[in-house]
Amino acid sequence: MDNLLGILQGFQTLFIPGVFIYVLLGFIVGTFFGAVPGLTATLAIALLLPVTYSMDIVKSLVMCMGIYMAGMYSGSITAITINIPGAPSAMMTAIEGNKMMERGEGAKALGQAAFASMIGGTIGSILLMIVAPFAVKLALLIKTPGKFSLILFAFVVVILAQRKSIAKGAVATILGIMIATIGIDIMQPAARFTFGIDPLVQGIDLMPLIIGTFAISELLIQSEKSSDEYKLINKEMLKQKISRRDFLPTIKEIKEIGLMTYIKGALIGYFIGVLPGAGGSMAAFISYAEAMRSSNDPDKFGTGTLEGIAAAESANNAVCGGALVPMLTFSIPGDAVAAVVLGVLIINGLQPGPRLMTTQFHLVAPMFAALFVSALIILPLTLYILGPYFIKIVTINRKILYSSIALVAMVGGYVSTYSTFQMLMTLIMGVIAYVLRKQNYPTVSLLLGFILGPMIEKYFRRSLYINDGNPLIFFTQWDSIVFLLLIVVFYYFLTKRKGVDIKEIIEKNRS
Amino acid sequence: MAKRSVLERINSTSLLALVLILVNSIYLFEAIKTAEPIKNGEVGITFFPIVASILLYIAAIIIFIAGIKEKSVLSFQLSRIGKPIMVIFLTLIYVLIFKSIGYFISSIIYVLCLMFLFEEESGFKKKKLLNILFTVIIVALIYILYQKIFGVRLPIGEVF
Repeated sequence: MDNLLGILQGFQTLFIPGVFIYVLLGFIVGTFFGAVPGLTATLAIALLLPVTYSMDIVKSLVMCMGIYMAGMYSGSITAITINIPGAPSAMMTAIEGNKMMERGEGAKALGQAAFASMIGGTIGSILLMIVAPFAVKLALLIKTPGKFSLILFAFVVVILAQRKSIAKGAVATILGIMIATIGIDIMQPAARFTFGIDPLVQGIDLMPLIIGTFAISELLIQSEKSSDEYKLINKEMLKQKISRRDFLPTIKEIKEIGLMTYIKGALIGYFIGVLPGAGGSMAAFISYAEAMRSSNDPDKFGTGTLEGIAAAESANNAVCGGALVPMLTFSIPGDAVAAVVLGVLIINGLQPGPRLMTTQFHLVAPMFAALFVSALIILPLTLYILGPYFIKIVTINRKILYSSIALVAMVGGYVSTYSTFQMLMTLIMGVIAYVLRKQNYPTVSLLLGFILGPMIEKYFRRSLYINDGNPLIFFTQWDSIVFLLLIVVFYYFLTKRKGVDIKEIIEKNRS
Repeated sequence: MAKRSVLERINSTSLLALVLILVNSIYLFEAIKTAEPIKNGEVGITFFPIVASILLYIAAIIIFIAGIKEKSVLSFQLSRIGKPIMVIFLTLIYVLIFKSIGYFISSIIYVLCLMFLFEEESGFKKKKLLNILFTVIIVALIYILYQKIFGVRLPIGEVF
């Protein structure tokens, strides 16, 4: 009852004009960052991070939710129109949507993507509001050894989620953990890994790491791309014409797709969102594969079908609600955006966990409301009002865009401590992330390692301390045993079971 | 086909794995130098980092072996990495001059250089003027955003 009241108060706070404007602003920023290939919602929030210092935390969080929901959806815009997903989560949408665009049904595909995103995002937000209070109760039952095993489980999932290269996932995660060990020890007043450099005693701030990893590395990647490549995209985009009245999906289309496709997609997306490190692209992929498996006519997949778009888009937007549950209750982010939102909370002196969700629920509730309203109301409205102009926003001048990003990022690095040392760290982290990205190492794992590393070390050492150094404590406490068993179960499902070869089926259908 | 030696089989995948092994060795050396991992039966400040380091060795070696099994060879395309290196260099200079000459001048130089680096068309005098105009607008807008709206103090320069 208390929670319901808290959530209703959250809606009340959200609808204060001075707060609501930030959700709208966030949604517009998120739409832009999600739609432009190379830019992501994660990058948008990373760039916003320095200004959250002086912003009201509620406004910062609701703005982040607007960016999150919009960024997850708007990747479909370029995916459909020019076959280049604006965000990785729109990969499956590109397969179907662009085929429809070629047939002159681009607006229909965009409309369906928005409709499915709306359903998925709304279901995800509702589940977040329902599940989060129970997750808090569960979190309160977990003791220190259990917390260690829980984070170990999170690490295993983060690493195994990189199915293409588990070793690279492991390297990125461990590197993050190692970077976090620089500076004063978490339990004793002793410095470590300073290599004789005095400023390193204060450690590396979360802000330079986030900005470097997501903004500077992207700047470096983009600088490699030739202008011709970009001009071609702009030329393709400007050719497209979209009419507003074609956006609305018809009842017949929705019936043909089947409500279950949307709901199933949302549930898949939500649960994948809960898993650490998985995120929107995996959710869209699995939901698409499931829709293909359970479809009456799987042969139409890959040829431009609304069913594929609905399954993928409903799932990736439901991820938003799912990814916030472990982030808010256990400090374990479900995906990259949730990890950066966690950064917003930490930088503003808030530690996610049961305490935040009980005593400071008034700060979190407007965030839930913002996610819900972004999905149910702002998303379809944005499509209807701005839809025909979507294509124009993607064609912004590249030199202005990346010069601005570079400046915001570097000044943001300075703002964290008012020192040029952290600015230098921003650059160094950016270069490290750039090198890793060039070799397909997952940089999200680096960030998760950095955030969760100190926590796992603290729980590990504390558990041993309270049990006189006996490691058997991890195998005798029920909460710890549960998470260790979950590691075994997930190891089996993520490594031993063979997935559906979607690529092969699509190629077959297309030919 | 002649069998290639391990050295010949080094490509970007295995080279990065080697760099990681090297960096990891420096990290491990520092850990060992700092404190004993276990002292009087108690886990110390370097125990956890040493465990992380060992795991990194294992993962990096796996990547290295996978790398030398690949068919690709090491090749550098200066045209491809030239611009990123320029961006890194420019950003480094920006960091070094930021506090001493202040936000405005350092940012104008930085953004203007990036504008020319990301330039899509060249050879027009008009473009150069436009770049300068856009640079001033960007630097001013970000100043307003940080200093005026969010109350963040930006350096005005120590030399002035």
